[in-house]
Amino acid sequence: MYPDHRLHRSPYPLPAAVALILAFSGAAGAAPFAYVTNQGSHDVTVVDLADHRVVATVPVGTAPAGVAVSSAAGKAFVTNPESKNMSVIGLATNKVLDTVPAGDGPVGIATAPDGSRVYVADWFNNRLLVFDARTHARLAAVPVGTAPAGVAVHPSGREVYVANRDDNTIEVVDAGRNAGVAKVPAGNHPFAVTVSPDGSRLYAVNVWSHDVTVIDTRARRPIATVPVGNTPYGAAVTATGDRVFVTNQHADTVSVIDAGENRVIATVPVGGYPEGIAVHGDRVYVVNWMDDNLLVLDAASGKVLATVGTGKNSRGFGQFIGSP
Amino acid sequence: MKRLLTFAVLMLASSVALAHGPTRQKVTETVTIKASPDAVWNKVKDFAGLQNWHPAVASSMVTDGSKIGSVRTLKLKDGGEIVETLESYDESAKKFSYRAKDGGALPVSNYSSTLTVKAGEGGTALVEWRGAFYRAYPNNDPPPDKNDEAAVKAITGVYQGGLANLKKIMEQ
Repeated sequence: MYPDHRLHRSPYPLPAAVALILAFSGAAGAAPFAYVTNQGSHDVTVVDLADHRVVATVPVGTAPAGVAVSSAAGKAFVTNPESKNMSVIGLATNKVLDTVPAGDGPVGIATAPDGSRVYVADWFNNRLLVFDARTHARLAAVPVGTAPAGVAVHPSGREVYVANRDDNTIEVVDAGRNAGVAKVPAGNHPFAVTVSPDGSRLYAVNVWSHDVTVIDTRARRPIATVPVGNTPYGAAVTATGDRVFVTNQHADTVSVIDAGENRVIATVPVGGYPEGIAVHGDRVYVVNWMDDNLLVLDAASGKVLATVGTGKNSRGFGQFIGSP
Repeated sequence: MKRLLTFAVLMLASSVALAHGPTRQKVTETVTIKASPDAVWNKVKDFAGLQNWHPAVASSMVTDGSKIGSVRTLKLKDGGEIVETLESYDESAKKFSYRAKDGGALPVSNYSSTLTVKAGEGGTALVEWRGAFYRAYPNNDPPPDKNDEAAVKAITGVYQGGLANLKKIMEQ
């Protein structure tokens, strides 16, 4: 799934690196779980993806939206924009371990691949907050653009990307220095961002221009704009990087992008107001905000394999799948 | 002076950061009508004809009928105005969706809505009207007339009032 050179480059002791690879290899190891934030019922629905059953409903802060599950850290981090904090759920117990103040409107959230850092977009204060994933201490507040929304981290952990929604740019943050180093132009109103597993491509989902900006992460410039459906909100990339799936909130569909050609090759009907989306193995998981459910799709055919009920107003905005 | 300047900058920043900071809300209302789905669809399908079945609407002026992109300006009986754009229209599925321009008579922002007529049990029609929206006040600590509750109450009122009257008209 990941190139071998990552092992050699890894700054972490070998056992940790092996654990990381095992955690990410998913289908081969333990069955993963989905952690779906429910903004209307103020909780997180935990779904066992082996049998599509709800195994826990975890009360968190008020109006949870963003989520980042880190198998490496053994934790799920959840943003609560209305209570202005972050809930930390232990993957082993499905209990809240800690609740940490997180600015004035935390929305987007992502973790470093090695599980060492948590990055939170502080919507009203135009900052990216950096937390230690182990101690939950706040380490830095990095000024970014206006209305920061989605966050993604490069597989190397060296760069963090933030969608500056109201500036129509993507902020590139140097994770070593905790400082913004570039602003890459995106489309109109970028909300979600996601990185390809090899780190070469960044996909910015533009809510108002109904398209996806494909960014070359090395050159830090856009290389393509892919029109998708009405009001796109979330994106996820397959492990091989060959397909990108995008939820279209007002079309109740998912666009399937061929990442080699940067064009839509299929449009799949899903539920009402699809938002959060994740890919694991040969399946795509879609959170439908209007219908309060999680759809399990076959990645190749787009066929719905299962429907799992969630809490109220489910969003799952972020990387919501992981294994304890 | 510095504090005043900081305040001014904050206000400016706040006014730019519209929606999404608060929490998106939704309302779904349904009604079962003792009439065929075709008959009910024929009553509601005209994007320019909301005044024919919604008791709060006095008139509507549209730019392009029921074509996607058509804009309707609704005049309400109590004097307010709402401007909405048709976003999707599916005759075979008997449903259409539209999005409202911010700043209309309803205390909401970023409001979109879908009206669907389905087959109910025993030859009846099931009408579903659903909406997604944010409150009118985009930032933290909204005034009571622009908070989440006010937004949900207003949209619920629009849907319930419209569907109840539609049922009455169709079952007469």
